Amino acid sequence: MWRALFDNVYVEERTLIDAETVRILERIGCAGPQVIGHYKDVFDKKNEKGSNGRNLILAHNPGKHLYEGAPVCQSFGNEHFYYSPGVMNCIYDCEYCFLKGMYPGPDICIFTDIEETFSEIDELVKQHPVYVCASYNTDLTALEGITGYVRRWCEKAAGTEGLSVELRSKCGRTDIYEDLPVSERAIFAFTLSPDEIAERFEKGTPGLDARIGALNAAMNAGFPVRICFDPMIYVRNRREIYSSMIERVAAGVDLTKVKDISIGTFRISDQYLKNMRKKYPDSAVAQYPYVNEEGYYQYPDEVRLSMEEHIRKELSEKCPGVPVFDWK
Amino acid sequence: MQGGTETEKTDIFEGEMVLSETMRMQLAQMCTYARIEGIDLSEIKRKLTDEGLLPCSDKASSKKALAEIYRHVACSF
Repeated sequence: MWRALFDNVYVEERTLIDAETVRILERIGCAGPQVIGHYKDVFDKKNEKGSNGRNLILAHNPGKHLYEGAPVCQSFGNEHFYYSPGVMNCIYDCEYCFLKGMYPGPDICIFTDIEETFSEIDELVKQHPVYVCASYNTDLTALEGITGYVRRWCEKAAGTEGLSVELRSKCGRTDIYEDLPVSERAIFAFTLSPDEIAERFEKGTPGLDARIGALNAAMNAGFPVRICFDPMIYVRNRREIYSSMIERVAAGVDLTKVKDISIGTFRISDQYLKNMRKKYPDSAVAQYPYVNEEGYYQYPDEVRLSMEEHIRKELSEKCPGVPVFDWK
Repeated sequence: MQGGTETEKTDIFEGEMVLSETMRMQLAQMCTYARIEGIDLSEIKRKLTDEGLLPCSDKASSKKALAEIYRHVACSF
Protein backbone atom coordinates (compact mmCIF):
# COMPACT_ATOMS: atom_id res chain seq x y z
CA MET A 1 0.00 0.00 0.00
CA TRP A 2 2.68 2.51 1.03
CA ARG A 3 4.93 1.73 -1.94
CA ALA A 4 2.18 2.87 -4.32
CA LEU A 5 2.37 6.37 -2.88
CA PHE A 6 5.81 6.93 -4.34
CA ASP A 7 7.10 6.96 -7.89
CA ASN A 8 10.57 5.96 -6.77
CA VAL A 9 12.38 5.16 -3.55
CA TYR A 10 15.90 6.54 -3.15
CA VAL A 11 18.39 5.75 -0.42
CA GLU A 12 21.63 7.57 0.29
CA GLU A 13 24.51 5.16 0.05
CA ARG A 14 25.74 5.91 3.58
CA THR A 15 22.23 5.23 4.89
CA LEU A 16 21.81 1.77 3.35
CA ILE A 17 22.95 -0.21 6.38
CA ASP A 18 21.00 1.77 8.99
CA ALA A 19 18.53 -0.30 10.96
CA GLU A 20 15.91 2.40 10.36
CA THR A 21 16.49 2.24 6.62
CA VAL A 22 16.11 -1.53 6.56
CA ARG A 23 12.95 -1.29 8.68
CA ILE A 24 11.39 1.40 6.50
CA LEU A 25 12.15 -0.45 3.27
CA GLU A 26 10.56 -3.56 4.73
CA ARG A 27 7.48 -1.63 5.78
CA ILE A 28 6.91 -0.22 2.33
CA GLY A 29 7.81 -3.47 0.60
CA CYS A 30 10.71 -2.06 -1.37
CA ALA A 31 13.50 -4.53 -2.07
CA GLY A 32 15.47 -2.52 -4.59
CA PRO A 33 15.71 1.21 -3.89
CA GLN A 34 17.80 3.43 -6.09
CA VAL A 35 21.07 4.39 -4.43
CA ILE A 36 22.09 8.06 -4.48
CA GLY A 37 24.97 10.10 -3.10
CA HIS A 38 23.01 12.89 -1.44
CA TYR A 39 19.30 13.43 -0.84
CA LYS A 40 19.48 16.84 -2.51
CA ASP A 41 20.36 15.14 -5.80
CA VAL A 42 16.67 14.18 -5.96
CA PHE A 43 14.89 16.38 -3.44
CA ASP A 44 16.07 19.68 -4.92
CA LYS A 45 15.56 18.78 -8.55
CA LYS A 46 11.80 18.38 -8.59
CA ASN A 47 11.10 21.73 -10.16
CA GLU A 48 13.54 21.13 -12.96
CA LYS A 49 11.75 17.95 -13.94
CA GLY A 50 8.35 19.53 -13.52
CA SER A 51 6.88 16.22 -12.38
CA ASN A 52 3.93 16.01 -10.02
CA GLY A 53 4.90 12.55 -8.80
CA ARG A 54 6.31 12.00 -5.34
CA ASN A 55 9.49 10.18 -4.40
CA LEU A 56 10.57 8.82 -1.05
CA ILE A 57 14.12 9.48 0.02
CA LEU A 58 15.93 7.95 2.99
CA ALA A 59 18.94 9.95 4.08
CA HIS A 60 21.11 11.23 6.88
CA ASN A 61 20.55 14.76 8.09
CA PRO A 62 23.71 16.69 7.27
CA GLY A 63 22.50 19.79 9.13
CA LYS A 64 21.09 20.59 12.52
CA HIS A 65 18.78 18.07 14.15
CA LEU A 66 16.95 20.66 16.22
CA TYR A 67 16.08 24.25 15.36
CA GLU A 68 14.74 26.98 17.58
CA GLY A 69 11.08 27.79 16.84
CA ALA A 70 10.18 30.67 14.53
CA PRO A 71 8.53 33.79 16.01
CA VAL A 72 5.18 33.05 14.33
CA CYS A 73 5.02 29.60 15.95
CA GLN A 74 3.31 29.07 19.24
CA SER A 75 5.53 28.01 22.10
CA PHE A 76 2.66 27.37 24.57
CA GLY A 77 4.62 29.06 27.30
CA ASN A 78 7.71 26.89 26.80
CA GLU A 79 10.86 28.94 27.00
CA HIS A 80 13.10 26.48 25.14
CA PHE A 81 11.10 25.65 22.07
CA TYR A 82 12.62 23.61 19.22
CA TYR A 83 11.45 21.77 16.18
CA SER A 84 12.87 18.68 14.58
CA PRO A 85 13.27 18.46 10.82
CA GLY A 86 13.44 14.66 11.07
CA VAL A 87 11.11 14.20 8.12
CA MET A 88 10.90 16.79 5.38
CA ASN A 89 7.58 17.24 3.62
CA CYS A 90 4.11 15.90 4.10
CA ILE A 91 1.88 13.29 2.62
CA TYR A 92 -1.01 15.75 2.67
CA ASP A 93 -1.35 18.53 0.14
CA CYS A 94 -2.52 21.58 2.08
CA GLU A 95 -2.62 24.60 -0.18
CA TYR A 96 -1.65 27.01 2.57
CA CYS A 97 1.19 25.02 4.07
CA PHE A 98 4.53 26.77 4.45
CA LEU A 99 6.20 23.60 3.21
CA LYS A 100 4.92 24.55 -0.26
CA GLY A 101 7.10 27.61 -0.12
CA MET A 102 9.96 25.90 1.62
CA TYR A 103 10.57 22.77 -0.44
CA PRO A 104 10.96 22.54 -4.21
CA GLY A 105 8.50 19.68 -4.73
CA PRO A 106 6.39 16.97 -3.08
CA ASP A 107 9.17 14.45 -2.37
CA ILE A 108 9.33 13.18 1.19
CA CYS A 109 12.73 12.81 2.79
CA ILE A 110 13.03 10.74 5.97
CA PHE A 111 16.20 11.18 7.97
CA THR A 112 17.03 7.78 9.38
CA ASP A 113 19.53 9.07 11.93
CA ILE A 114 16.82 9.89 14.47
CA GLU A 115 19.17 8.74 17.23
CA GLU A 116 21.33 11.80 16.49
CA THR A 117 18.32 13.99 17.27
CA PHE A 118 17.76 12.15 20.50
CA SER A 119 21.44 12.57 21.44
CA GLU A 120 21.12 16.33 20.96
CA ILE A 121 18.05 16.33 23.16
CA ASP A 122 19.92 14.41 25.85
CA GLU A 123 22.55 17.14 25.90
CA LEU A 124 19.99 19.97 25.94
CA VAL A 125 17.87 18.57 28.78
CA LYS A 126 20.95 18.62 30.97
CA GLN A 127 20.81 22.43 30.64
CA HIS A 128 17.08 23.22 30.68
CA PRO A 129 13.62 21.81 29.90
CA VAL A 130 13.15 21.16 26.21
CA TYR A 131 9.97 21.38 24.19
CA VAL A 132 10.15 19.84 20.72
CA CYS A 133 7.65 19.97 17.89
CA ALA A 134 8.50 16.64 16.29
CA SER A 135 5.96 16.86 13.51
CA TYR A 136 6.81 20.35 12.33
CA ASN A 137 7.91 19.74 8.74
CA THR A 138 5.60 16.80 8.14
CA ASP A 139 2.67 14.87 9.57
CA LEU A 140 4.41 12.10 11.48
CA THR A 141 1.22 10.34 12.51
CA ALA A 142 0.12 10.07 8.88
CA LEU A 143 3.50 8.50 8.09
CA GLU A 144 3.57 6.20 11.12
CA GLY A 145 2.99 3.15 8.94
CA ILE A 146 6.25 3.93 7.19
CA THR A 147 8.49 5.44 9.84
CA GLY A 148 7.38 4.26 13.27
CA TYR A 149 8.69 7.62 14.48
CA VAL A 150 5.60 8.48 16.52
CA ARG A 151 6.38 5.46 18.67
CA ARG A 152 10.05 6.46 18.86
CA TRP A 153 9.16 9.97 20.01
CA CYS A 154 6.64 8.68 22.54
CA GLU A 155 9.26 6.32 23.94
CA LYS A 156 11.78 9.12 24.08
CA ALA A 157 9.37 11.47 25.84
CA ALA A 158 8.33 8.79 28.32
CA GLY A 159 11.94 8.09 29.21
CA THR A 160 13.33 11.61 29.29
CA GLU A 161 12.67 13.89 32.22
CA GLY A 162 12.59 17.51 31.08
CA LEU A 163 11.48 16.75 27.53
CA SER A 164 8.04 17.57 26.12
CA VAL A 165 7.13 16.55 22.61
CA GLU A 166 4.27 17.81 20.46
CA LEU A 167 3.07 15.56 17.63
CA ARG A 168 0.73 17.61 15.48
CA SER A 169 -1.46 15.92 12.90
CA LYS A 170 -4.51 15.95 10.69
CA CYS A 171 -4.48 12.15 10.50
CA GLY A 172 -7.66 10.22 11.20
CA ARG A 173 -6.00 7.00 12.35
CA THR A 174 -7.44 5.69 15.58
CA ASP A 175 -5.57 2.41 15.83
CA ILE A 176 -2.12 3.50 16.95
CA TYR A 177 -2.67 5.17 20.31
CA GLU A 178 -3.57 2.18 22.49
CA ASP A 179 -0.20 0.56 21.89
CA LEU A 180 1.98 3.61 22.39
CA PRO A 181 3.81 4.26 25.67
CA VAL A 182 1.65 6.84 27.40
CA SER A 183 3.28 9.87 28.93
CA GLU A 184 2.26 13.34 30.04
CA ARG A 185 5.26 14.50 28.05
CA ALA A 186 3.96 13.35 24.67
CA ILE A 187 1.26 15.75 23.52
CA PHE A 188 -0.89 14.82 20.56
CA ALA A 189 -2.09 17.94 18.79
CA PHE A 190 -4.87 17.81 16.21
CA THR A 191 -5.44 20.48 13.63
CA LEU A 192 -9.19 20.77 13.20
CA SER A 193 -10.71 22.60 10.26
CA PRO A 194 -14.24 23.03 8.99
CA ASP A 195 -15.02 20.52 6.25
CA GLU A 196 -15.45 23.42 3.81
CA ILE A 197 -11.84 24.45 4.47
CA ALA A 198 -10.52 20.88 4.37
CA GLU A 199 -12.26 20.16 1.06
CA ARG A 200 -11.04 23.35 -0.55
CA PHE A 201 -7.55 23.77 0.88
CA GLU A 202 -6.40 20.54 2.58
CA LYS A 203 -6.24 18.01 -0.22
CA GLY A 204 -5.90 14.41 0.90
CA THR A 205 -6.71 15.05 4.55
CA PRO A 206 -9.46 13.35 6.54
CA GLY A 207 -12.62 15.32 7.30
CA LEU A 208 -13.53 16.80 10.66
CA ASP A 209 -15.33 13.71 11.99
CA ALA A 210 -12.34 11.48 11.32
CA ARG A 211 -9.98 13.90 13.04
CA ILE A 212 -12.30 14.12 16.04
CA GLY A 213 -12.30 10.32 16.15
CA ALA A 214 -8.51 10.25 16.21
CA LEU A 215 -8.38 12.95 18.89
CA ASN A 216 -10.72 10.91 21.09
CA ALA A 217 -8.63 7.79 20.53
CA ALA A 218 -5.49 9.61 21.70
CA MET A 219 -7.31 11.10 24.67
CA ASN A 220 -8.88 7.78 25.66
CA ALA A 221 -5.47 6.15 25.53
CA GLY A 222 -4.34 8.63 28.18
CA PHE A 223 -2.34 11.16 26.18
CA PRO A 224 -2.63 14.91 26.71
CA VAL A 225 -4.43 16.32 23.70
CA ARG A 226 -4.19 19.75 22.13
CA ILE A 227 -6.71 21.16 19.67
CA CYS A 228 -5.35 23.51 17.03
CA PHE A 229 -7.70 25.81 15.17
CA ASP A 230 -4.73 27.00 13.26
CA PRO A 231 -4.40 28.20 10.60
CA MET A 232 -7.83 29.72 10.20
CA ILE A 233 -8.44 30.76 6.63
CA TYR A 234 -10.37 33.82 5.51
CA VAL A 235 -13.23 32.71 3.24
CA ARG A 236 -16.80 33.69 2.45
CA ASN A 237 -19.23 32.68 5.23
CA ARG A 238 -16.28 32.24 7.55
CA ARG A 239 -18.33 32.98 10.66
CA GLU A 240 -20.92 30.36 9.85
CA ILE A 241 -18.51 27.62 8.92
CA TYR A 242 -16.19 28.16 11.89
CA SER A 243 -19.13 28.39 14.31
CA SER A 244 -20.56 25.20 12.88
CA MET A 245 -17.20 23.47 13.30
CA ILE A 246 -16.98 24.52 16.97
CA GLU A 247 -20.48 23.12 17.51
CA ARG A 248 -19.42 19.78 16.05
CA VAL A 249 -16.21 19.69 18.06
CA ALA A 250 -18.07 20.50 21.28
CA ALA A 251 -20.56 17.75 20.52
CA GLY A 252 -17.89 15.18 19.68
CA VAL A 253 -15.16 15.87 22.23
CA ASP A 254 -15.15 16.12 26.01
CA LEU A 255 -13.51 19.54 25.99
CA THR A 256 -12.96 19.53 29.74
CA LYS A 257 -10.30 16.87 29.17
CA VAL A 258 -8.38 18.79 26.52
CA LYS A 259 -4.97 20.07 27.65
CA ASP A 260 -5.20 23.34 25.74
CA ILE A 261 -6.34 24.96 22.53
CA SER A 262 -4.35 26.86 19.97
CA ILE A 263 -5.88 29.44 17.66
CA GLY A 264 -4.28 31.37 14.85
CA THR A 265 -4.97 32.88 11.49
CA PHE A 266 -2.81 32.12 8.48
CA ARG A 267 0.63 33.74 8.44
CA ILE A 268 3.78 32.92 6.55
CA SER A 269 7.28 34.25 5.93
CA ASP A 270 7.60 36.60 2.97
CA GLN A 271 10.03 34.37 1.08
CA TYR A 272 7.80 31.31 1.36
CA LEU A 273 4.77 33.28 0.17
CA LYS A 274 6.73 34.60 -2.76
CA ASN A 275 7.52 31.03 -3.80
CA MET A 276 3.93 29.93 -3.28
CA ARG A 277 2.55 32.76 -5.39
CA LYS A 278 4.73 31.70 -8.28
CA LYS A 279 3.73 28.06 -7.91
CA TYR A 280 0.01 28.62 -7.31
CA PRO A 281 -1.30 31.56 -9.34
CA ASP A 282 -4.93 30.53 -8.78
CA SER A 283 -4.77 29.83 -5.06
CA ALA A 284 -6.94 32.12 -2.94
CA VAL A 285 -4.70 31.49 0.07
CA ALA A 286 -1.49 32.28 -1.76
CA GLN A 287 -2.87 35.27 -3.63
CA TYR A 288 -4.70 37.05 -0.81
CA PRO A 289 -3.25 40.58 -0.51
CA TYR A 290 -1.68 40.14 2.91
CA VAL A 291 0.08 42.79 4.94
CA ASN A 292 3.75 42.29 5.67
CA GLU A 293 4.82 42.76 9.26
CA GLU A 294 8.50 42.31 9.96
CA GLY A 295 8.98 39.75 7.23
CA TYR A 296 5.79 37.78 7.82
CA TYR A 297 2.68 38.05 5.71
CA GLN A 298 -0.58 37.98 7.60
CA TYR A 299 -4.16 39.17 7.37
CA PRO A 300 -4.74 42.84 8.14
CA ASP A 301 -5.63 43.47 11.79
CA GLU A 302 -9.27 44.10 10.90
CA VAL A 303 -9.58 40.56 9.49
CA ARG A 304 -7.20 38.80 11.87
CA LEU A 305 -8.74 40.18 15.04
CA SER A 306 -12.25 39.59 13.83
CA MET A 307 -11.51 35.92 13.11
CA GLU A 308 -9.57 35.32 16.32
CA GLU A 309 -12.10 37.10 18.52
CA HIS A 310 -14.95 35.20 16.95
CA ILE A 311 -13.40 31.80 17.65
CA ARG A 312 -12.26 32.91 21.11
CA LYS A 313 -15.82 33.90 21.99
CA GLU A 314 -17.22 30.61 20.75
CA LEU A 315 -14.63 28.70 22.77
CA SER A 316 -15.21 30.70 25.94
CA GLU A 317 -18.83 29.58 25.81
CA LYS A 318 -18.11 25.92 25.06
CA CYS A 319 -15.04 25.29 27.23
CA PRO A 320 -14.44 28.19 29.63
CA GLY A 321 -11.76 26.43 31.68
CA VAL A 322 -9.45 25.33 28.89
CA PRO A 323 -6.35 27.50 28.23
CA VAL A 324 -6.45 29.12 24.79
CA PHE A 325 -3.16 30.20 23.19
CA ASP A 326 -2.80 32.40 20.17
CA TRP A 327 0.30 33.13 18.15
CA LYS A 328 0.42 36.90 18.51
CA MET B 1 -1.04 45.20 1.38
CA GLN B 2 2.03 44.17 -0.48
CA GLY B 3 3.16 42.10 -3.40
CA GLY B 4 1.35 41.69 -6.69
CA THR B 5 1.87 39.72 -9.85
CA GLU B 6 3.30 41.64 -12.74
CA THR B 7 1.04 39.99 -15.23
CA GLU B 8 -2.27 40.53 -13.48
CA LYS B 9 -4.50 42.91 -15.36
CA THR B 10 -5.44 46.11 -13.61
CA ASP B 11 -7.14 47.46 -16.73
CA ILE B 12 -10.40 48.12 -14.99
CA PHE B 13 -8.75 50.92 -13.03
CA GLU B 14 -6.60 52.16 -15.92
CA GLY B 15 -6.53 55.94 -16.04
CA GLU B 16 -8.43 56.20 -12.75
CA MET B 17 -5.46 56.59 -10.42
CA VAL B 18 -1.94 57.95 -10.26
CA LEU B 19 0.12 54.97 -9.13
CA SER B 20 3.70 54.40 -8.15
CA GLU B 21 5.18 51.03 -9.11
CA THR B 22 4.58 49.72 -5.57
CA MET B 23 0.97 50.88 -5.62
CA ARG B 24 0.49 49.29 -9.03
CA MET B 25 1.81 45.99 -7.66
CA GLN B 26 -0.55 46.24 -4.69
CA LEU B 27 -3.48 46.87 -6.99
CA ALA B 28 -2.43 43.94 -9.16
CA GLN B 29 -2.42 41.64 -6.12
CA MET B 30 -5.91 42.82 -5.17
CA CYS B 31 -7.11 42.20 -8.72
CA THR B 32 -5.61 38.70 -8.69
CA TYR B 33 -7.37 37.81 -5.46
CA ALA B 34 -10.64 39.38 -6.64
CA ARG B 35 -10.53 37.27 -9.80
CA ILE B 36 -9.94 34.06 -7.83
CA GLU B 37 -12.67 34.78 -5.30
CA GLY B 38 -15.15 36.11 -7.85
CA ILE B 39 -15.27 39.58 -6.34
CA ASP B 40 -16.84 42.05 -8.76
CA LEU B 41 -14.31 44.84 -9.30
CA SER B 42 -16.58 46.80 -11.60
CA GLU B 43 -19.09 47.04 -8.76
CA ILE B 44 -16.33 48.32 -6.46
CA LYS B 45 -15.25 50.82 -9.10
CA ARG B 46 -18.82 52.03 -9.50
CA LYS B 47 -19.17 52.47 -5.74
CA LEU B 48 -15.92 54.43 -5.45
CA THR B 49 -16.89 56.60 -8.40
CA ASP B 50 -20.27 57.33 -6.79
CA GLU B 51 -18.50 58.29 -3.58
CA GLY B 52 -16.19 60.64 -5.46
CA LEU B 53 -13.07 58.61 -4.68
CA LEU B 54 -12.44 57.86 -8.37
CA PRO B 55 -11.00 59.13 -10.62
CA CYS B 56 -7.93 60.45 -8.79
CA SER B 57 -5.74 63.30 -9.97
CA ASP B 58 -2.77 62.73 -7.67
CA LYS B 59 -0.95 60.09 -5.67
CA ALA B 60 -2.41 61.10 -2.30
CA SER B 61 -6.01 60.65 -3.39
CA SER B 62 -5.01 57.47 -5.22
CA LYS B 63 -3.68 56.06 -1.95
CA LYS B 64 -7.06 56.67 -0.36
CA ALA B 65 -8.82 54.99 -3.26
CA LEU B 66 -6.41 52.07 -3.11
CA ALA B 67 -7.08 51.63 0.60
CA GLU B 68 -10.80 51.61 -0.11
CA ILE B 69 -10.43 49.02 -2.86
CA TYR B 70 -8.38 46.93 -0.42
CA ARG B 71 -11.13 47.15 2.17
CA HIS B 72 -13.69 45.90 -0.33
CA VAL B 73 -11.50 43.14 -1.74
CA ALA B 74 -9.66 41.87 1.33
CA CYS B 75 -11.94 42.60 4.28
CA SER B 76 -15.49 42.24 3.06
CA PHE B 77 -16.31 38.60 3.94
